Amino acid sequence: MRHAFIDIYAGLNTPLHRLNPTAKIIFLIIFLLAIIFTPITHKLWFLFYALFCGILISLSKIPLSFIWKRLANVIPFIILVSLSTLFKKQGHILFVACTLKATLATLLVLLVSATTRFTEILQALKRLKVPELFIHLFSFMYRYSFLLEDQMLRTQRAYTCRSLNPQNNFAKVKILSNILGSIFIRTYERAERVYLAMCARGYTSEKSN
Amino acid sequence: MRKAIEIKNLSFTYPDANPALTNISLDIYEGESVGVIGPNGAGKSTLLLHLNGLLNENSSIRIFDKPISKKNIAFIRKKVGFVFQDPQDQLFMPTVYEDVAFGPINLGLSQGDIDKRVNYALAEVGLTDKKNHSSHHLSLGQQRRLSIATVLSMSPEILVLDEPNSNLDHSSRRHLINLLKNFNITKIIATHDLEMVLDLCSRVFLLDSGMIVREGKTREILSDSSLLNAHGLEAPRSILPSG
Repeated sequence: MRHAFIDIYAGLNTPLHRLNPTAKIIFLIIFLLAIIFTPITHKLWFLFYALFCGILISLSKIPLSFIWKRLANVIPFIILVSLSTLFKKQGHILFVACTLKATLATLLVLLVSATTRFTEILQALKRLKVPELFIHLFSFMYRYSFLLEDQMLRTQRAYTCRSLNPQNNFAKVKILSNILGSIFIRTYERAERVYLAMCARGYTSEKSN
Repeated sequence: MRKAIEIKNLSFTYPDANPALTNISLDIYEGESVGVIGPNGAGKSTLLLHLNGLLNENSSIRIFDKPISKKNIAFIRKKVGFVFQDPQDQLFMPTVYEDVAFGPINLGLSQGDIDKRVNYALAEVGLTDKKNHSSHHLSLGQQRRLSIATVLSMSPEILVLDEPNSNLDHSSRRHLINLLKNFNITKIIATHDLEMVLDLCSRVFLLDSGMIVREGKTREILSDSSLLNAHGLEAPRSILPSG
């Protein structure tokens, strides 16, 4: 099974793709801070941010459908978190501010991650002196996300092959939880083996290289 | 000849109270290629894991005359290159280059030396052009060879391989065997592929239920059909008298 779902548009050749990854991350951080600290009453500024995101997206030549799909995964969470603000005084303003800022921030992060190969992001983070432990965690997450997806897909297929009778939803949920359980155990055991493989090649947790 | 590995009365029980190894003693000399054969669940992998001090510290195992202990563990892991059975366990970094560089980085080498070692190891297994690929997207044969490169880059003196060619197609298997043939270092190979053992190893240990059932010259043991059958193996065709 082949998939590079994270890096699918990272190979394009646009000014945004060519930009140095370290510079991209620094710009990203600056813009995130700017968005977070702009008071929601400065409407013109937010118009500017939105326009800026729009220009970057068109520059990056990444299909809108791709960006929309990714964003749609995150928006429910943003709204869920923002909902809590509604119980405060003048909550509706806070709600708009939270949702708007978080959406803009997500859009920018999306843009950086979609126009940069994941390995380049990791190298950039390393150059920015992010602790080695985090970089290891990110890189494992990236490396094994493919494997996990494959495993889920294969288990699901095997399950479909053997479930001939139409079952009610309760039974399905029960089976799904069993599948998740077995995948969890397998993942856990793999983590142990990977750790052994790291040790075998001289890795010691105390050393920060 | 210098002893590369010396094991005296090694027993091991997993935490779930399964005795995996009972009273194992063996000597392996420098430059030798040794096969460890036996049915599934015989304890082959468990035995191999011990050689790198991965299961626990154990004074009954000596590598180049040094017992496996906290003090020696760095030395031992430098000398013993361990290749795991499943490349998905062995290859854990995002790119091929980083995977091969992982060991040399842990050895504390300079960037120049790391580059040199990685280039050498990748050239040795014929994967130089895959340097910036993600290992997930390589074929199984390439992943197996890459797994070997990840330990070659540490220039080990003992190569320990756990089922290096299971599930490979004919040409990938041949490629791997020829590759291993060219390495003039001590090799310990656990496998069911007795044809490969015949091709590569001068000596064989037959393991079953955590015990060494028989040890001896490869040809002698592999031509003993009844012995092999009794332990879940089948004599390789090329050794049997034809007709």
